[in-house]
Amino acid sequence: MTALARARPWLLWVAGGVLVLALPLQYSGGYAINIMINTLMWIVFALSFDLSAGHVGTVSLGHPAFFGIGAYLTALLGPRLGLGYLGNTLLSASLMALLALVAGVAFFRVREVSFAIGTLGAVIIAQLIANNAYDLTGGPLCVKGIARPEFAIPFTDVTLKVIHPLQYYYLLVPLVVFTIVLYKAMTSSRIGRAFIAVREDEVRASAVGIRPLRYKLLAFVVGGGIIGALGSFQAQYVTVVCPSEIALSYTLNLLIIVFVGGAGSLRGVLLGSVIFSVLPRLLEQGGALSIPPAYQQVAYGLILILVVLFMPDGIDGQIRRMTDKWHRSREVEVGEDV
Amino acid sequence: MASEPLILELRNVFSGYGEIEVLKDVSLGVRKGQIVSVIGANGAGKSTLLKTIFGIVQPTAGQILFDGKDITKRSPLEALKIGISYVPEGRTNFPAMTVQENLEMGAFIRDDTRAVAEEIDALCRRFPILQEKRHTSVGNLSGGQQQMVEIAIALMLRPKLMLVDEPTLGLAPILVKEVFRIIQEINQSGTTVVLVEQNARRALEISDYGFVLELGAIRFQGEPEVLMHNTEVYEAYLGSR
Ligand SMILES: Nc1ncnc2c1ncn2[C@@H]1O[C@H](COP(=O)(O)OP(=O)(O)OP(=O)(O)O)[C@@H](O)[C@H]1O
Ligand SMILES: [Mg+2]
Repeated sequence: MTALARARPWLLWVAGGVLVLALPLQYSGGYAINIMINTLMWIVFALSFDLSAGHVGTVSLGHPAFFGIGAYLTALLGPRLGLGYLGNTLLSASLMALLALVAGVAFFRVREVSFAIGTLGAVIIAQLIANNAYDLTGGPLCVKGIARPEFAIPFTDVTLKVIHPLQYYYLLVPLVVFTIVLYKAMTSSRIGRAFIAVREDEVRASAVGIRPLRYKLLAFVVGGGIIGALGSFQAQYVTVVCPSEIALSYTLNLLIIVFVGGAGSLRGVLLGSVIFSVLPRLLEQGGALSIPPAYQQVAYGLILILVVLFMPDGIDGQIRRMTDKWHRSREVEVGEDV
Repeated sequence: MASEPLILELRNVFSGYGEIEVLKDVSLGVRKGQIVSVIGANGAGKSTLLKTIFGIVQPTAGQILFDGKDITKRSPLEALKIGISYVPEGRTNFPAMTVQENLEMGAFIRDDTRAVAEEIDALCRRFPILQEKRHTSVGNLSGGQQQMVEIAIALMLRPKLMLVDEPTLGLAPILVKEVFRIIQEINQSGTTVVLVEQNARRALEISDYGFVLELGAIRFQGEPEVLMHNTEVYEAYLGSR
């Protein structure tokens, strides 16, 4: 292996990091920066979902509940407790991790399909509550006027108020980095091997001394906590929280990102998040070319079908197959040279 | 042989799944160094017996002793630590992982990576098919090869007692023979084996002792020759099938 080839993963990460940090400076206009924030949010959302769905094999359709409830917690408790951005985020994260623990203990008793349906039910109930508990959530009138994050700059009297989308973008980056690092650390360790073992064969996993419930809960709780934090960010970003934040359409998008991108693969989920956040917006741009919205959706559907047909193992699987082929053909060439 | 001490003993064990009682007052002893077969019809409770010994199912009454020590209340993890390993029934491996990775999973509870690597090397020398397919995903192996891997996973911790549930299920006759040969070889290198089999005749042929389980209770037991010459056992389990 050449030094370049060995360094390549690092170079990719560095290049990706520079891109993530520099791109919004180039395109800080309203529309583009919104797409970029949206993309980062989907990365966090999808990675936390994939911990369970891709690695442990427990597909919870209820992830939006953690997001929405996390957002409501910040909207409702934030002003009362007077917590700052970090406090709000940590509060939502820890309470959603706790909720995931309780829900996990309850739902993991049942088998996969029942689990998926059960978590689906939880989202519907959470949305019903958000819609109907007027005194608490304001129902469809939403909770409005959530405080924007403020940061006191040390040793000065200056407080920095986060207002501009560009500022929100950089506020979100640490959560993205934290999520990626945690995801990578968990999945490439002993814990990650236990995850896969549980996914591949629960009975055999128990036979080698792994407690499946423990690892299912671990992935679910970590995922729930991360999404809770993301919900809190959302509340402080749009400053309004509505029942529609607990939306099943989020679940649909998660399934597309993770399973078309490449379940259980960091690269696949990252690519899926970027592609399926940007693609619908690009198609919307078609609106400018006077393509009616219905056709935009048809186009999106068609693209999905084509991807699934031509890349049965997802985008990541396709890339892996192509790089494998490339490596093999290179080995042959090298072999002939000798 | 009969003078060997008991490595495993069940005393009046009852167990099952919640309301469903499967094992009813099972008492049995397994002598160190032997191959012991458990035969019985579908649903007799053979798998439940192994799960109860390994700790996946907890007994509701009775006592289980291992090497003379009471292990009635133990988790699978503790069972592994004291030297009991378990090969579940059916295709039970990690198909997306390579043979190497499957074997590593067999030693999941051990932290010493170098010792684990040496153990894998040793197993690969012992069973050449593992070496040959070492870096192939187990999902891409034949049924017989997968069974080999499944047994090898359970050998990673050098168990004193290995519980094997229907290892020949769905295998071609020639592979059935091979699996039995391997179980004999494992036994000869010092591991006591409790073998659950549908293939009763073949199982008894390699066994030192046998139990016949009916409706969750031990109906007959004895040395293979005795069982084979018992007309009831013969007609129910060994006759032309
Ligand atoms: N997880 C479970 N939950 C509830 N009942 C179970 C469970 N597993 C097995 N049983 C029941 O316990 C009884 C004994 O099952 P067991 O699997 O021990 O039989 P077996 O002798 O291994 O049969 P086979 O030869 O078909 O493998 C059966 O009536 C079965 O329906
Ligand atoms: Mg069975």
